[in-house]
Amino acid sequence: MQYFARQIIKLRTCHSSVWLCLLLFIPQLSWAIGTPSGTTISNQATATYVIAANPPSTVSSNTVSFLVDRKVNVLVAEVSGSPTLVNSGQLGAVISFTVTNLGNDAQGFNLFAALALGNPAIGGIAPFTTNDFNATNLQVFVDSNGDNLFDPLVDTAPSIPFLAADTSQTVFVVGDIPASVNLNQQSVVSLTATAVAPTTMAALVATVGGNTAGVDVIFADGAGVPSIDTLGDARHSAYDAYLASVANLTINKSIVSVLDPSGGAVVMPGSVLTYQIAVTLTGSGTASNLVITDSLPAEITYIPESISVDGTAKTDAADADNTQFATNTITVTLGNVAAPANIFIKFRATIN
Amino acid sequence: MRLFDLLLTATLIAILGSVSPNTRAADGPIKLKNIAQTEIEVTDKKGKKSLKRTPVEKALPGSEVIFTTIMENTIDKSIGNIVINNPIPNGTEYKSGSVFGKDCEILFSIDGKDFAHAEDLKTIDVDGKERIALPKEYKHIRWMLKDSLDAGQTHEVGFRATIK
Repeated sequence: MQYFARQIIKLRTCHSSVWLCLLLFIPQLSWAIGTPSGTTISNQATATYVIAANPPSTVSSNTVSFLVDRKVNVLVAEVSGSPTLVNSGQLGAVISFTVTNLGNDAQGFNLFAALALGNPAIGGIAPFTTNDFNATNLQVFVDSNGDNLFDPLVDTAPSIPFLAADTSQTVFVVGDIPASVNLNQQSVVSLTATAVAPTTMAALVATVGGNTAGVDVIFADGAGVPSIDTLGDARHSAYDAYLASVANLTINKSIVSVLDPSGGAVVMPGSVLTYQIAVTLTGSGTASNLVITDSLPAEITYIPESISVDGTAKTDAADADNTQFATNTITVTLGNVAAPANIFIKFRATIN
Repeated sequence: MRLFDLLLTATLIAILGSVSPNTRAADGPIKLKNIAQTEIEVTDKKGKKSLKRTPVEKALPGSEVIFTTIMENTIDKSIGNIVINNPIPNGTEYKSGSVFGKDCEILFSIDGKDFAHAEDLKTIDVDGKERIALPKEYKHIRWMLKDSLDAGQTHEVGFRATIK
């Protein structure tokens, strides 16, 4: 019978402040709202004149008028200007984009996320040019509650059925990072938004030939990523990237030996358990400010002065060594640890 | 069958005519005609670029439209004291400095009642202060021709405006 102690292992790494910065840099666009399509613009002039000694006369011109056409224009932009920092092996890593309807009518938008091709990423603008690994399982989700935070339970729509003219929508690309990624390696991804009819999501067709008497549909979008979309194709795209910033950390707690009161290995009240916490850092880079804490359960009693780190005995007191035991909690302050690394923390406790 | 075809054609013409949004001017000694055009750059076979005006194409927010009024004297006498008024169409914004019309005194208005030269046209600001009106605030233009218009002559005036 194996006995598992309740464990709380807290992990603090660097770059937490950078996450705050990513949330702050959301571009604010301002522009005048364009006249909706189908609006009639008309013009009629009047004139007065005099012939000889007659009283003045008035004349009106014809009324010339035309309809405002539909301008289809979309802009996809990445948020923050820098890559999303990830750990190797991280699941569900989030990149934010904005999709803006710059046209004069509401449209729907189909969304598509893809890995960039080539290294440098074809058509990429720094810092999204180096493309060292492939993120996997890419998915697109619309920020449906507009809070700029990806919530998998709420943000589930893969496309935008309705976006009013002159309005912006945040979209998330979510992907997984392979376990074998090294520090500073980057995976560039693209988001493409294609304008479609609102709600029905039917494809748009640009009016060909000259002006018609009705509302013409004109694709006025710019070109995004050169290998993905072009001028006037009702689509726009942009790059962003995942950047591996911290090595992969795993922590494994186990019981490595049992000594019962009669010298055997039976797990029973009075048995002494030797626990091991194996801290493993793979990949490359440095985990900074690494602290391991373990709160022991009530069913066991810690044996004082039994902690060791990599075979070196440590004191329980809060002193110069990096280990202490207080309020039934073991705390080992490892500080900055460069990958790869294997650290073994051991301690003993008696089953009550 | 023929009568039917004739009636059908006549009906079709009548229907198309009524659907057209452009009204005809009343016939009289002086004809006043309004046109709306866009200007595009064309390159000829030799690579030479020039500007060409066409009836409005691609009327999108941000597009520039040239509104021209052509006055024609169709009688055998000259006419004088000519004043032409044209409003800036709803849904457009006057393009600063774009008004044209030879030998005219040109006045602007923001309310259709008071007309003044650009440098004298006043408006009240949001905070109640009086200031000179900005070109984008103009709502009407008035051209007062200095000379009379001789028999058979035409005179063109106009301006550019951007679709909002």
